[in-house]
Amino acid sequence: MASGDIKNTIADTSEGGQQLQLVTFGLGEEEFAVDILAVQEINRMMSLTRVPQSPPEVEGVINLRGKIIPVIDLRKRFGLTPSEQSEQSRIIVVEVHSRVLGFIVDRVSEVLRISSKIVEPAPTMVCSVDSDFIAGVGKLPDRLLILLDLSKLFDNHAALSAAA
Amino acid sequence: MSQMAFDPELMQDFLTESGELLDQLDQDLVTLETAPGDLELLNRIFRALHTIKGSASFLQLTNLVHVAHAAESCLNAARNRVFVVCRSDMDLLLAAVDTIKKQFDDIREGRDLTRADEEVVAKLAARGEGGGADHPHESAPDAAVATAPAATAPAATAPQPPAPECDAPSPSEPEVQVSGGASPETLGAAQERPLVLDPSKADLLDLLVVDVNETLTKLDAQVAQLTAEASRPGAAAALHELADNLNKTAEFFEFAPMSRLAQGLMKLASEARSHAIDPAVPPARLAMALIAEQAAGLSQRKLIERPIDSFLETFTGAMTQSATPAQSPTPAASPSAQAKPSTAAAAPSPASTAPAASPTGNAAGDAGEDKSREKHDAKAAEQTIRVEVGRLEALLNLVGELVLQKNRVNAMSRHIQAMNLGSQEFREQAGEVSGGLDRVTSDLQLAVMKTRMQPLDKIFGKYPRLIRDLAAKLGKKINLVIEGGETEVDKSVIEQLGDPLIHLMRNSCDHGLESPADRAAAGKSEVGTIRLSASNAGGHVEIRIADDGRGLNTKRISQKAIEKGLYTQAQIDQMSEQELCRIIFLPGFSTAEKISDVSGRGVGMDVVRSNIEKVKGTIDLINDPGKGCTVLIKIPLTVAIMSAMMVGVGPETYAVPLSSIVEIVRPEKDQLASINQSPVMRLRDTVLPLLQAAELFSLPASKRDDAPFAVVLSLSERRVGLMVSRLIGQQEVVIKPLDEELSRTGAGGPVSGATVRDDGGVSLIVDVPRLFELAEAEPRR
Repeated sequence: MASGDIKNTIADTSEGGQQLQLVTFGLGEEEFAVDILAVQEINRMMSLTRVPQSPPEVEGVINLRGKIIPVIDLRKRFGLTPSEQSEQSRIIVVEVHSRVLGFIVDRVSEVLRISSKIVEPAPTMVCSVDSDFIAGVGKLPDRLLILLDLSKLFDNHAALSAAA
Repeated sequence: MSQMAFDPELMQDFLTESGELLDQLDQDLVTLETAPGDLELLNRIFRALHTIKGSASFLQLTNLVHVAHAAESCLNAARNRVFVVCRSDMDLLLAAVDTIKKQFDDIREGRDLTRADEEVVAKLAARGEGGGADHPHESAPDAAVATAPAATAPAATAPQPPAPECDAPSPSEPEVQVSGGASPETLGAAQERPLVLDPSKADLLDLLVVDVNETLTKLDAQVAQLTAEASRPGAAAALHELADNLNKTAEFFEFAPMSRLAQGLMKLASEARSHAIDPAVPPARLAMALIAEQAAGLSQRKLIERPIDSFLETFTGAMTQSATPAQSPTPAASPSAQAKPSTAAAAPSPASTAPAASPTGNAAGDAGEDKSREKHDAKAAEQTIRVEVGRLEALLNLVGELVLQKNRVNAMSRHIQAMNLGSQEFREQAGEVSGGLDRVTSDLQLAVMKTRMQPLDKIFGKYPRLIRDLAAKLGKKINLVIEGGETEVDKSVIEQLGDPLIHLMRNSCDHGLESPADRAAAGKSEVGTIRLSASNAGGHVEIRIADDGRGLNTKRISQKAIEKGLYTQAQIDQMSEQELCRIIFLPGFSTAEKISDVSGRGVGMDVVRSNIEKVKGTIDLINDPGKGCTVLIKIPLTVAIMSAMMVGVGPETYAVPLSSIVEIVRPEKDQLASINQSPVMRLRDTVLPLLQAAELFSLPASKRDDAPFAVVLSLSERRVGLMVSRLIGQQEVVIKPLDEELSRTGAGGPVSGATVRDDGGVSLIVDVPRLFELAEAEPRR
C-alpha cells in the first residue's frame, strides 16, 4: 500500500553468515528493525477508534479489511514522549503469537538485507529501550540498527495487562 | 478392539448419525412411558435402535450390538403386543440406551467399548421372550453375537409354539420354506458365483445370514396377515419395515439382487397398505423364497443369482394394477399368475433386462395415491446434505463483509444524491444499484443465517429424560410440558444454551418444586409442573421455564447475601423484590442447605447468567411466592449480526444494541434531578438513574460536549438512561470480536465488540449488561 516509497537496500558488504531481511523504521532519533517475515503490511495513518479503559499505549483499533485489530503507539510502549503524528507516520501490522496487531512508528525507512554476522547481542544500555525487547544490534558501517524482538515486545501483553 | 481398524471417517459418520438417533431414542422412550400403547412411537423407537444396531454390527462394535439387540428384542415383543411396557421395562431400556451412549463416548475417546451390564441384557432378552408367542427366537442371535459372530447356528432356546397365523419354520433352518408353493427354480437357472467380500464384512456374513432368515420368518408371518382385511394395514406396515431393513442390510454388503428383491417387497407393502392385494401374496412369497435361496448361498460363501428382472417387472406391474381401486380380480390375477409356479417359468424373457425395469425406476414413475411417510422421509433424506460447520461459519463471515460493503455503497449513493453529483440518469442508476444491492444482501444474509438455524428441540429433546431421572432421584412427581420446540435459533446460540437450561431445570426440580406431601399440604396437586416454552418475539426468541413450586424465598436470599457479605442489611432494605431475586445471579451465591449432586454448588446461576449474556441474551425472574417461579430468557436469533442504534458521544460513535433500547427521549430540565448525588431522570411515573456516556467511555474532558439525549436501556426489568450527544440512526451491524487481549485487559470498559461503520471506520458496541453492572456498582459501593 504505502510501501512504494520504501527503499530496498543491501547495506551489508561482508560475506557469509545468514542473510537477514529487515524492515527498518525510525522512532525519534533512533533506528529500529524487525524481521520482515513478521510484517504483514505497512499502512499510512488512518483514523483510530479509541477503546475506553484500555491500556494507555493502545491507541485504539482499526479496521484492517474487516478484521478489527488493536494499534499500539510504540513511543508510549517504550516510554518515550508521544510525538505528534505526521505525514511520515506509519502503522506496521505484524503477526506475533498468531495475534495480529499494528504499531505506530514515526517513519518507515527501508527494507534491508544484512548478514547475521554483523549483529551483536544487545549491550545492557544502548538506548532508551528496555534491553529485554532487543534481539540484537546491527552494526552498519555508518550507523547502528536496533533489532526488536517482537514476541517479547508484545508477549501476551504482560506489560499491557500490568498497565491496566 | 478392532474398531480402530476402521476408517475413522466411517466411524465419525456412524457417531454423528447414530448419535442423533440415540438422542431421539432417549426422548421417544420417555414419551413412550407416558403413552405405552402408541404403536407408531414403538415402531419408531424400534427402527432407530435397529438402524444403530445395523451400523454397529457393520463396524464390528460387538459389545454395542449385544446391548442394542437385547433392547431391540424387548421392544419387538412390546411392539407385537406380547406385553405393555411398564416402568421396569423403561428402566431397562433406558439403561441399555445409557450403555450405548457410554460406548459412543468410548469410541470417541478411542477406548475399548464398555461391556454391557449382563443383568440388564439378560433381563431385556427375557422380556423379549416373555410370553413370546410370536417371537420366541428373538434372543437366539443375541447369544450368537455375544459369544462369537462365527457361531452361526442360532440356538433356538425356547420351544416354538406355532403361532396361529404363521407357519414360521425354525430360524435355524438355512432356507425358509415359503408357503404358496412358489419355487425359485421356476424363474430360470441359478447362477452361482464365488463370493468376494471385503474381509471386514466377511466376518459379519454369518450374522447377516441369521438376520436375513430371521427377517424372512417375520416377513412370512406378515404376508400371511395381508389377506385378512382387519390385520392388513398393520401387516403391510410391518412388512414394509422388515423389507426396508433387509434392503439396508443387503446394501451394506452390496448384494444387489437381494436388495432389489427387498425393494420390491417394500413397494408391495406400500401398495398393500391402501388396497387389498390378495394376488400379491404369491409374488411376495416367491421373492422371499429367492432371498432365502440367496441367504443359503451366502452361508456357503456363494452368490446365487437368478434372472429376476422380468420377475420384478411383473411384480411391480401387479402392484400398479392392483393399486387402482375396486379392481376385479381378473386383470390383477393375470400378472400375478405369471409369478405363480406354472407361468413364472415363462417370465425370464430376455426382453426385460433394461435397467428401467428396476423396481426403483418404476416406483418413481408410479404416481399412485400412496404418499406414504416412508417415501417422504426418503425424499427428505436425499435432499439434505451434511456440511461442515466451519464452511457455514466462513460463509457467514463473508456475508458479514458483504453487509459492510453494502453499507458503504449505500452511503456513497446517498452522498451522490445529496451532492447532486453527475447527471440525473447517473444518480438514478446509482440509487437503483444500491437499492438492489441492499435487497439482495439482506436476502442473502437471511438465507445464510437460516442455514445455521436449528430447532430448540435439539436441546429440549434431552430434558424429558433428565426430568424423569431427577424426579425419581428426588422422590418428586414432575410433569414436564414442552412447547415451541420447533422455534429456531442460531447454532452457536443453541450450543451456549444447553448447559444453562439444564441447570435451570435442575433448579426448578430441586429447589422450586416441593415434595408431594408438601404440595398436598399447600393444597396443590401432588404432581408439580415444569413448563418449558419457547417462542419468537421479534428479532428475539423467548424461552420460559416456569414451575408451579414454592417460588423464591427473598427473605432467605437476603439472609444468605448478608451472611456471605455480598450486601449489608442497609443495602438489602433499599432493594426491591425484583432486585432481591436477582441476587441469586451473583457469583458464589447458593442457598441450598445441603449440596446435592443435583444442584447447590453455588456456581450455577452465575454461570447461567454469564452464558446467556455471552450470546447477548438476558435472563430474568418472575417470582410468585408460594405459586411458582418463572425464568425468562431472551436471546437473539443470531450472534453475528444485530440491529443497533448508532449514537454519537463527543466525536466518537458507538453502537447500542437496539434490542436493549426501550425508548429515546430528550429530557426537559425539570425532568432531571439527583438522588444521593447520582443523577436521575423522571420519566412519566418512574425514576431512572442516568449515566453519562462520555464518562462511562472515559472520553477526555476536552472532547466532551452536550449530551441532550437519553437512550433508555433495559436489562430484564431494570432501566437506565444513557446520555449521548447525537443520534445517528439505526443500522444492521456485523459484530466483530475485539482483540482478545484487549477485551481481557479492557474488562473495565463497557464494550462487547466492534463493528465497521459504513464509512469504513470502527465503532464499538456497547455492552449493556456490563453497563448495568457499572451503573449498579457505583451507587451501592
